[in-house]
Amino acid sequence: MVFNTGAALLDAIVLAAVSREDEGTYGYKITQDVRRVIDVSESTLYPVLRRLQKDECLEVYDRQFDGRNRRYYKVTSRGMAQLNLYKSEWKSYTHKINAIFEGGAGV
Amino acid sequence: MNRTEFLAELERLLEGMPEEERQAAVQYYADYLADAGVENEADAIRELGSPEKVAETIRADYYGTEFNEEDYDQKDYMERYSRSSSDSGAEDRAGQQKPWTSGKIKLLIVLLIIIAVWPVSLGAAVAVLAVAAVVICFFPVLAIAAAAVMLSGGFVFVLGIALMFIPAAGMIVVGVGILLFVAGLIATVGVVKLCTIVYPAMLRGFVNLCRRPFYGKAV
Repeated sequence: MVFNTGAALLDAIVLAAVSREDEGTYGYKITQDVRRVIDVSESTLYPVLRRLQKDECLEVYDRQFDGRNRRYYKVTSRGMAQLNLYKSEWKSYTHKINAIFEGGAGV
Repeated sequence: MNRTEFLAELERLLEGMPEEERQAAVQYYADYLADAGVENEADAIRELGSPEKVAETIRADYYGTEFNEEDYDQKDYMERYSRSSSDSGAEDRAGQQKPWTSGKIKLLIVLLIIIAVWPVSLGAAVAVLAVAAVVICFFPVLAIAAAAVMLSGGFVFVLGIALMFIPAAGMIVVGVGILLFVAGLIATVGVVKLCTIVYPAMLRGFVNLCRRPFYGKAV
């Protein structure tokens, strides 16, 4: 893609991908979901997940799967608030960009 | 390179990071490759890039955010990332080997301050010790006083018995003796009971106070 995905936008996309699953989801699936939308390398997502976890936007738990423990990520209430903030910021941002692109009212 | 080799190499490359960080990262990539499935394993490993690259991504982010949480904009993020992944020279690596958590720095500063103002801290330490000694001795002294009252009560009682040849005076002295004895007995039992509550509580409080600098805030 021509446009860079900044750290804040990457956080927002990861939070959104995780929030789609009520039960939480796991690293490989998050990577697949995010990579369907934006072009990031596979190794970019672990640090993002780890940081979101430390910021208490994500919580983790282990669940048995296929004879091993699989780590699941789930959005916390704090993460949900953060995601909503990102969403509203994104809305006003894209609104302004669209306005200048399409020459509509408001600019 | 297969999965086991990749994970072992990654674990080795993350040496020097806090053990918790290292285990979490290795666990994540173990999960990741297991979820990719045996048939996709080779592809998944190739797409992740070398263990070196993965380790550098983890290090860059961990140490980057640890030191300056404030500047978090993408330009800086990308610069930092590309710099530490392209220039993985020995100096850079050596600089990153020692994880200085803010907790350790805090403890060091506190120690330095204590050493710098040692006459003051010595005085403070002596004062604390004196207060502790007074507090510790207070209750035994109280108990001894109560026991003394009890003892004197017994003595007065015996005196009263001896005075029985003047019945009125003897009776009064015996009565006073009994009263004193009972009052002393109650006070002694009370103080001993109080000690069994106060001393364990004081000990717990002291232990907690000592532990606070070490287990205060998880960093």
